Amino acid sequence: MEQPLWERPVLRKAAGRTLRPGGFELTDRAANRMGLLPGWRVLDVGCGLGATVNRLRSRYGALAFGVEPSPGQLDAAQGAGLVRAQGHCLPFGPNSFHALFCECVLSLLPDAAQGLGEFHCVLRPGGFLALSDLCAPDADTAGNDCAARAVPLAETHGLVKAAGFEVLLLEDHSHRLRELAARLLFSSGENDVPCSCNRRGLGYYLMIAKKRG
Amino acid sequence: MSVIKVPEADAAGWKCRACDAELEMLPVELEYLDSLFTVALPTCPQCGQVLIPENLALGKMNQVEHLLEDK
Ligand SMILES: [Zn+2]
Repeated sequence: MEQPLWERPVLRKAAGRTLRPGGFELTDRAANRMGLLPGWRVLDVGCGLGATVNRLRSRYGALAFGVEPSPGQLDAAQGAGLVRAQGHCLPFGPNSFHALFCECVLSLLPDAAQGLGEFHCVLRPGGFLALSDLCAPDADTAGNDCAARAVPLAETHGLVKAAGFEVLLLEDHSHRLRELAARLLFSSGENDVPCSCNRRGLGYYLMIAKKRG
Repeated sequence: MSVIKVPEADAAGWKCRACDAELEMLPVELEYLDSLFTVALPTCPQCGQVLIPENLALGKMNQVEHLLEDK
């Protein structure tokens, strides 16, 4: 079976250790916008190689943790506070975190609504959710890679609100996705982008939401 | 962001005509629309002239341009 793109060396070559469009730019944008303070307990869901967790620790002084389901990613990861777990089944109690990051991962969860419900549960009242992901022009979710599983932004927006969040910010960062596709194309040694992230109309967004109550 | 290594770019055997220097793989900034990429390309270490092999110009670089234009 072919490995998913985010576990293949070509993505690491093209995107660095963050393994997603925009690198740390959107992470920093979200952290600054929510006013992330030293000592905050922060969770990164789908932390991959731990790049965001390390960033949130070193740059913001956060008490950051990450969960990642893939043992291969965790073996290659660096840094502390990384736990093997699925995004929709988090090994943390209610009201545990000031903020939760979920970068380029939501559309990979088996059930996004269930995942958002879990995020809501582990966040404290008033806690922040930073969500960045691919979004699709239509609801055709055939296939298994992150691009093929992307859903329309309006759908995600609705799910986030229904899960008990107030959306504070919603930004389009689609050009970052095309840049990543271009980097993949340059690095791949093949004459096509090695995934469907150049699928027509596919976009990328950053959303910041706050747990109501 | 890190320097992109393009498999098709190869400096082996190329010399700069003006300087008679062997080309080396050096980071070159490529700008397309509002995106900037740092790509390793065969470059003259003396005068800075960059060689873009034809298959790269007509292949990858052309495809990247289309990809970035396609909204
Ligand atoms: Zn020269």
